[in-house]
Amino acid sequence: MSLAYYPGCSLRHSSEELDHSTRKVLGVLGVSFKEVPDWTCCGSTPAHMMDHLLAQALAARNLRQAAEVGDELLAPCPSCYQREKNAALEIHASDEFRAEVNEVLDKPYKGNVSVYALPEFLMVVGEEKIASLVKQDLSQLKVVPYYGCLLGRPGELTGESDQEQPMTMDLLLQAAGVDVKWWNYKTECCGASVGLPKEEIQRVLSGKIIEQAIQAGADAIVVCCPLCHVNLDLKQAQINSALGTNYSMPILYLSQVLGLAFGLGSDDVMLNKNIVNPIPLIKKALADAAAVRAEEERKAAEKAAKEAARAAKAAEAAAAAGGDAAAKRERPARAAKAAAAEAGASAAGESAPSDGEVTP
Amino acid sequence: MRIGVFVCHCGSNIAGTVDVAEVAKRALTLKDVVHAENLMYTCSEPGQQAIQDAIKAKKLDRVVVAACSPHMHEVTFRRTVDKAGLNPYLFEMANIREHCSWIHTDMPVATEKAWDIVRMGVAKARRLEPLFANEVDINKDVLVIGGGVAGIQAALDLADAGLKVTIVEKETTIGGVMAKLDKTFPTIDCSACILTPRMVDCGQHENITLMTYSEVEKVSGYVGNFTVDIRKKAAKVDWSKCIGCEICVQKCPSKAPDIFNVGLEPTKAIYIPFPQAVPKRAAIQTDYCRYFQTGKCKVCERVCPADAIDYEQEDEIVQKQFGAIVVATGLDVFDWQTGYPEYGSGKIKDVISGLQYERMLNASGPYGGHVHRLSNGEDPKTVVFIQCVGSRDESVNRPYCSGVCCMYTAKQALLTKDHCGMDTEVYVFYIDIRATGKGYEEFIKRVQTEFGVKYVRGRVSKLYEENGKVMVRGVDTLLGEQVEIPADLVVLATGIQAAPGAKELAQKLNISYDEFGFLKEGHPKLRPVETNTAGVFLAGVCQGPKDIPATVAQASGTASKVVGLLAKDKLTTSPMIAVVDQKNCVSCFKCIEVCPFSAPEKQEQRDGTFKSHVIETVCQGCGVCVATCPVNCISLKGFPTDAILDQIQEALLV
Repeated sequence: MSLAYYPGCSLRHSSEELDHSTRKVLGVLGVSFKEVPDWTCCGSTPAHMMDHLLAQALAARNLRQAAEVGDELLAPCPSCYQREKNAALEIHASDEFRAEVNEVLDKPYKGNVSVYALPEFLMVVGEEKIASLVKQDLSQLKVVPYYGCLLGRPGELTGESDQEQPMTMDLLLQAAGVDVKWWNYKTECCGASVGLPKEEIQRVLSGKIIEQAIQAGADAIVVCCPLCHVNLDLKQAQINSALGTNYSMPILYLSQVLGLAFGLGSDDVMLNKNIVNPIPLIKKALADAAAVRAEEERKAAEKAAKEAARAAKAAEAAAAAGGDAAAKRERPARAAKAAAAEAGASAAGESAPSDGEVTP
Repeated sequence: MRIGVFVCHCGSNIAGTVDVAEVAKRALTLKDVVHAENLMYTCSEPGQQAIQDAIKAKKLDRVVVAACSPHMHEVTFRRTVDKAGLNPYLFEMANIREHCSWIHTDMPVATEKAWDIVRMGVAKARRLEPLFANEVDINKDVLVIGGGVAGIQAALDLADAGLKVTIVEKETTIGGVMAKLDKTFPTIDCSACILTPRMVDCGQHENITLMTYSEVEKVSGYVGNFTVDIRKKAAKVDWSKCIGCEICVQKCPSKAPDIFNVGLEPTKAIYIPFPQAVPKRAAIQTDYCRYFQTGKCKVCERVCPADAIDYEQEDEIVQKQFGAIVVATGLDVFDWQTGYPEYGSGKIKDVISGLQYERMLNASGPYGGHVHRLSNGEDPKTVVFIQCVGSRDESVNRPYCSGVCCMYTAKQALLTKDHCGMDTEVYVFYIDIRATGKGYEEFIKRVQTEFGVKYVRGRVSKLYEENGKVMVRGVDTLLGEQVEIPADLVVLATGIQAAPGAKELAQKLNISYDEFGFLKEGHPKLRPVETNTAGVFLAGVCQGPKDIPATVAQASGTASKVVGLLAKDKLTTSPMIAVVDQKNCVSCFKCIEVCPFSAPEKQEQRDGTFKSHVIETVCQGCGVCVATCPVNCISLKGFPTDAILDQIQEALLV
């Protein structure tokens, strides 16, 4: 298996940070890849509205180029992913259609390249692998994953079993130790399709997404799609002026968050490219996490000390009670023993059980 | 051989496109045919008289009637010839109506085809043999599977008729879904108040044996003589000692999901579903029991005043004999959390199912009838009902109407106003309002006008939380606008689906079911409570969605059918069944594999080998084994292979 990487136009320019952070994350994960040589437009232009053959041929050219360096293709931009996968499915299913497409292409596409979206690919890499590489504690970074329309719909194309409640980004972020909030707005429209002709609608729809994220208790929204990112991040000021709101919600790419969890610096994941500055939030989340850890450690130490004291006292009492221990007394004695063992364990530096409060 | 042919006009049904006189005239030219005539309505009294007269006058020994489908009148004419002294199985029907006149317009063509069909009928008639029906003894005990209102009604009717009835119910108590309901539409009378007396009657009736917490394991035999294995699940409580005092429930330290209260609040690992349970006996859910999970606890054993707890109790299989079986397995509520992820997949606390709302409304429910928001306990000011959740929706494979949701939603809307005050805003999103029962439409009107419930025609596409409210986003198709309602509580009118395990039970009983798991009746109009397996009957929602009045009516209908069956001491069986020529049987037993009724069996021969044998009383005469047998040693009486070959020859060669 070898992986071809297709950046596409957005990642080359407006969403440079997605490109950059994805490459870095793949590097940390030890996934080797090669950029598709001499890649061209994926066809996610008016082409697929106007001429089916042209649109599929545009995508097929990239599949052919990809086949030169790999048998799997990763397209981090969901628009590119949709176009490339759409073409691949149709061409691979019908030799007749492949012939028709090849008629249009300068050189024929003979391969059988599998196309992956970013979360889909990372799920193949595995949550365990991601969890094993986490270096930064992002447990205090509260986010909601926003999937938008292109990652999941239509299910026959993407293979997403639950188009209303997709889970891949949730699971990946959880594996990276991020505090993922649940919301019922994962796949609502951001307004990208009417962003130019009816911008007032986009303002309302995207504004609602930010509002819902706040309601869900999130401090940031995590996305995969450059179009969603533009609508939520770049246009957040316009949303605020149109709706009279005062949102300041950082919009992060999935790859940026994973990169941060892997211990990459803010330059490595290009946090400076985001319009709503996420750096203060990340700093705060890291500081909070450190504070929480310190507090937990303090509590654990306190608990261990108290339990050790109590165990010693109980053991003393048990010894004093003598041999004919009634059934009633057996229990505290045993509990004391267990507590002593536990206290010993936590004293030895293992994670202390955090459930239950210590009774004085 | 002396064959008589009678060609029917059926008014203009046949004579309009077939020259019946010509067909009758030609029939006279056939070998062995000594009499042929055309009759206006052969099934009428004069028509039947003409057949009987001809049998006597011309000494006919075979009769062919060319008329409608045998489904219509075969039985009629068998009786006709029987009365004239001819064996009823020496009669053959040639279908020149459904198979000919109704589907053609050109008379000469239709006449030729009718002539083909008549010749085929005569060819078959030549090969017919007299057949004689058998009689078998009947066991008069009845098994009722399912202890909901359908099973209860059927059992009481049967028991009152003097028959011994056993109710098998999978839960620990009878009562079914109706026991969970708060009030019933359109009269707003208390569901438990009308059901529990019937439950008590069941528990005390001398002719009724209750086997709750039990399931049907295996069914064999045939009408009049079923043998059923029933699994009595281990309650881990000796029910002969348990007095239903509930002390164990109060003291039990382990929580478990409460099925009776539809998961609203947990119950205990040892539980009694509700105060009026019949029988009122405790059972342990071992998956949640501290003793069974950790080996320590035994609190229930310590506190039980009757010494009834028995941790060692195991499942027990009880074998019983029955003459008839009534299936009344009821329903399940559509699983909206997986079906409608756009409604929050169960993550939004203030979105509940219709059945959960019944329990919330109910005074003996987990909240004592206090309607409130599960998120914060506050009284709701705005309540939204969404109809057709899991009904009339092909995207969740539930294209059918559940039939009860319009009415129960209207009832719940009314009760909401009653519980929370008339100033509560209540909305109902609907597709159409289906209120076809007695007093139903008037009830809906009352809810709309008198109680001011606002009906919005349209579907809801999304539920999400905002500022502590559940936002209901939908469309008002009458206004042609999107609407958004901030609600405090959303109740989904979850639809009806077949009970879990209905298909598996149907397979055990050899009865058919539709693609949704509802059990199939013998005929949608004329045999609504029978199944295609003799002696197995249906009652209630297992056959299709219906409300309580329809369920009870059907259950009584079923009971009367069972009484009719068991009123006889002997049962006459159809002689048109498969027989095995054991000389030629090669013991491959493919017939056993293919038979949908388990009629063939391995029969030991004198030399110790086994040959196939078809149990006469079980065989339904479908002929699958005949077609399957690789050495052609099975034949179907009434359909001799030679007769069918002759028919084909007649159709092809002339």
